[in-house]
Amino acid sequence: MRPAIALTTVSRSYGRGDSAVRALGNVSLEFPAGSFTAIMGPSGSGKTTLLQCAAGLDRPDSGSVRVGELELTELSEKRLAQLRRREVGFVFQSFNLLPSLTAAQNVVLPLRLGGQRPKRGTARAALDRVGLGKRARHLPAELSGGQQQRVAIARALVAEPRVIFADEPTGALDTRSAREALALLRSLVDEDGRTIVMVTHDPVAAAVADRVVFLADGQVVDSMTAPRADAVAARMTALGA
Amino acid sequence: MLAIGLRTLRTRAGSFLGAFIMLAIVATVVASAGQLMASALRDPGPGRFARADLVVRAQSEVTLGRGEAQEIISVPRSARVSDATVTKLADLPGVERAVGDLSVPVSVSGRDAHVHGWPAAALTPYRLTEGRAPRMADEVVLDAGVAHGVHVGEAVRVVTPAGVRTLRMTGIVARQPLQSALFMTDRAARELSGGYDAVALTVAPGFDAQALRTRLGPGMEVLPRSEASAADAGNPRALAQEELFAVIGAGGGMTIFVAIFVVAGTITFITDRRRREIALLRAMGATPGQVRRMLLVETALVGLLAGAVGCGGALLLAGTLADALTNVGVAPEGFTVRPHWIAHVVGLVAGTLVALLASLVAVRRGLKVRPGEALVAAAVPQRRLGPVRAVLGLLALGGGVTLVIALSHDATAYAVLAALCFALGVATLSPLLLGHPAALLGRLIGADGASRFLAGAGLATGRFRVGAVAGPIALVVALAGAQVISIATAGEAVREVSAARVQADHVLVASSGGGLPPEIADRLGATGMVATEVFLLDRELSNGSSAWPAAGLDPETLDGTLDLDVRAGSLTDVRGDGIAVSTRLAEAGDVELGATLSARMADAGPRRLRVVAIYERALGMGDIVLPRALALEHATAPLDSAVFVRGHADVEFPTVERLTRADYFRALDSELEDGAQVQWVVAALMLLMAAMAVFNSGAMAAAERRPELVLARLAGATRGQITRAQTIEALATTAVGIVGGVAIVMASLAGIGNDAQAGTLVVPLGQTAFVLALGATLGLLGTLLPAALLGRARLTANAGLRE
Ligand SMILES: Nc1ncnc2c1ncn2[C@@H]1O[C@H](COP(=O)(O)OP(=O)(O)OP(=O)(O)O)[C@@H](O)[C@H]1O
Ligand SMILES: [Mg+2]
Repeated sequence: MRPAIALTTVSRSYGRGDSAVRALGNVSLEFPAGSFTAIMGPSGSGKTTLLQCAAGLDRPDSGSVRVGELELTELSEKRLAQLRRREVGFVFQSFNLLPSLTAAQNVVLPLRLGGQRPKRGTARAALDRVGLGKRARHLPAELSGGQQQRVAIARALVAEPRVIFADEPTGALDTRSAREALALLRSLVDEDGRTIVMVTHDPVAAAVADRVVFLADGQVVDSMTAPRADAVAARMTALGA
Repeated sequence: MLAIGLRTLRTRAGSFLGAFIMLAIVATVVASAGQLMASALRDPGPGRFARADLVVRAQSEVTLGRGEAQEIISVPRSARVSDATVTKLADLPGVERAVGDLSVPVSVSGRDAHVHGWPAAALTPYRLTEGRAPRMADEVVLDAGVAHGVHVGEAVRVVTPAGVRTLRMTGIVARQPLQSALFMTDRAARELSGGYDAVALTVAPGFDAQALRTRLGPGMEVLPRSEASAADAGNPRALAQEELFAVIGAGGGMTIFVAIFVVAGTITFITDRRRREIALLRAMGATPGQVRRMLLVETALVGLLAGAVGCGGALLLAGTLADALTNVGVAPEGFTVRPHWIAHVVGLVAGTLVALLASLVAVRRGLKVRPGEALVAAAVPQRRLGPVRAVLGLLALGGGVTLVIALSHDATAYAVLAALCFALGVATLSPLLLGHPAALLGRLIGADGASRFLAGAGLATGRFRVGAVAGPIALVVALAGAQVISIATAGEAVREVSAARVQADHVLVASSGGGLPPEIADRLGATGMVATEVFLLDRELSNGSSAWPAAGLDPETLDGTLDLDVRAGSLTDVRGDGIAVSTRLAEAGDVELGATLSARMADAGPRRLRVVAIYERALGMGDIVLPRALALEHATAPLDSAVFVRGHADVEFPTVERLTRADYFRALDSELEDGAQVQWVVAALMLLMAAMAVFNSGAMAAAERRPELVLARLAGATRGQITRAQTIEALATTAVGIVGGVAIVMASLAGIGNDAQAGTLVVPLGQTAFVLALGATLGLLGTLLPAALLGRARLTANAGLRE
């Protein structure tokens, strides 16, 4: 099967001269369509950087990033923005929602940015799916952290993107909210056939994925299919995290 | 996207408030200026000529300079028209009636009025309500306002330029709301005036005014009824339009300059605080273009709203401003504001345009936000002085340096402008020029270790924040300081020169403030001085304008009254077309003894003048001395502005006020103060703007600094330590701002040694101390007040992790 996303020898450094930090060094990775991949690694190992490069939020210094047929490194800022509207969705650890828009307005934001007038009920249906149908008119400040996270997931659903990127989506959540959010993500893969790439520090969360990729010092050091939480935890301990 | 911008605006109304208020002030200023200008420019209306169809007068416009620098000045009273011209006009086909009109300034029982010829009464019309028309030279008709208390047949004493006349009142006409009027026989009035000011025509239907214009040529003007009152020399509105425009233009222009700068700081700050929001939008698929549009639409809307508020404000303020301008003598007596829609448009456009210009930097920064920033926690990035900002700052500093060097011969006049350039430059480069010194200072002062450490760290990492507050403080100190010192220096110079020039024991002036009939000086054999002006046409004079203040004097009378300190030639040759010029004019215009100058007189009449003497003591009098007869012939009002008397002055004359030499200098002082007031009216708005900026950036800085201090408290700092740290920061910031302002003042006055007019530099202690105290108070209040308010609001739980 064609991979939904393919990174080939991607490198990314921050800063210049002596203070330069090599966040990613020649990373090559494929994310098959319809798969759920967890990315793990010690703090500072380059997980967020990897996600940014794969999602077209940042440009690598060298290497190639392909999403479907498109080579991201060759696209203009404008085309990248358009790609983000249609092809990819995001769930971040925090500050997911625009504080001045209601939950429903946040959900349809990508459509709005694309100049579409969302059909009535679109936002409501997506919010219903994450169990927040009654909170459509609330502002983010009136929602709990877990609820905000689910609104972000609803937003990732609405544009029907092929790939969803999540950076520590459960990092700020209690165990129960985290479990609900993970179940939602899992159902997106199983029922809707989406591709998910998720950065996490939590072995239990990683165990929900089909595969775990381990990063250390900007390199892929290991990967594990059909992961189990205890095995993942053991591997992380070995990496020094 | 627009909807998103609008919603952001609603939820962030608070942070836009500062920008909004400042924009509203600018819009108010601009719209008020617009209202004033529109009122001044408004069709002057028919005035006294409501029954005339056309009014013909000699050319009133003087064109100075060429090309870009061209300037057209319209004089308040044009040259006289001869009898022959009236007859010629009356004989033209289509002209039914031609009436010569004139206005002679007189005073009747302490009240200023104008004498006209009786035939002109029908032009308005003034209708007799009592008595009959004047038939003899000593008969007069008064309007009901002037006649108050006098009965037909009684005598009235009228002070005319030709002396006091006792006339018999033969009738009363109904009063008109225009001006106070007296009517004499045409011949008697013409004897007083020396000719007609204008000719009013009644014409047959279908008369071709354009053909008349062509026929009369460029030496004459033909005014339609709607503008006819401009030809009435007795109409006070005809005066002082140029000065009014200059004052409004300078004040409005500089205020806009300051506003763009100040508002830019605010909007950039707001945009910086929204980086994460912008990053999130970008991550969600907003293109850079969409972000740009959102930011521009937001600021444009704020500007438009502020513009609307400003238009409202202008309706309230314009009247007050007009009164203020009238009080200081820039606007004519009775100047009123009639609202005009164009001023509203100007206000709206000004608000929006200033907002958009101010947001350019912010938008540039907003566009640099990478979408990836949405994923990382750090919100405000390390700030660097961008190249655009650096270049703008250097440009402003360079402008200041250029002003100081290139215009050093006129240093006092340009000191405030130079200070403005320097201050804007310093404020633009403030993280560098003010931030570093503040950090250094913060490390030196402070009571106990912990708060000193906190303050030092805050000042060192927050150079942008500190600069943003210290910049406006420097601006306030620089503008006010430069103004105080340059006004004092210029005033002192006028005082010194006048004291050396005036040797008379007594000076006679008009108690009403107008002028004295020339007859008084003639009778006393004293020195009558006619204050007028001369336009020099063919000299490139570097002071920017070729309108020179001039004095009409009789050289034979100067002995023991005025000593002009003649450097070349002789004042006795000042007669006919011989004139004397000041050394300043001689240098500026490269004029030598014997040179012939092509000039226009105060009534726009052309004249060739020969330079026969060069003198030194011009300040406070004028740079050109004309023969008095020539000056009287062309002056707007043929009167002496002062009469200088040697020895005892025995005059029994109504309206004359006799001053001793000391009194005269005291009167001069209060005149200088009036002049200073005009400059303060102009500066007040700018200072208000800058003071607002101190508070605004103080509030922004406090908001930015708060999370850090809250974290410090969570980490165990006591409330006292935090307060002390904030105080140290405030003190360091204010001190640096004040020192910066003082340095700017010194830089902008650096060229004063080259200013021949300036004399010695005068630093008035009281006012200077006041300026420094003002800077200190503003600085400390502006930094500590917002900090205190914010600190009290919610110091406990929220450590500022969320937006
Ligand atoms: N904007 C930046 N400027 C400079 N260095 C950066 C920047 N972003 C990341 N880095 C550096 O790059 C390296 C990788 O960072 P990245 O954020 O990808 O790590 P991470 O694996 O996501 O860590 P964490 O688990 O703590 O989120 C780190 O050493 C980090 O300090
Ligand atoms: Mg990370």
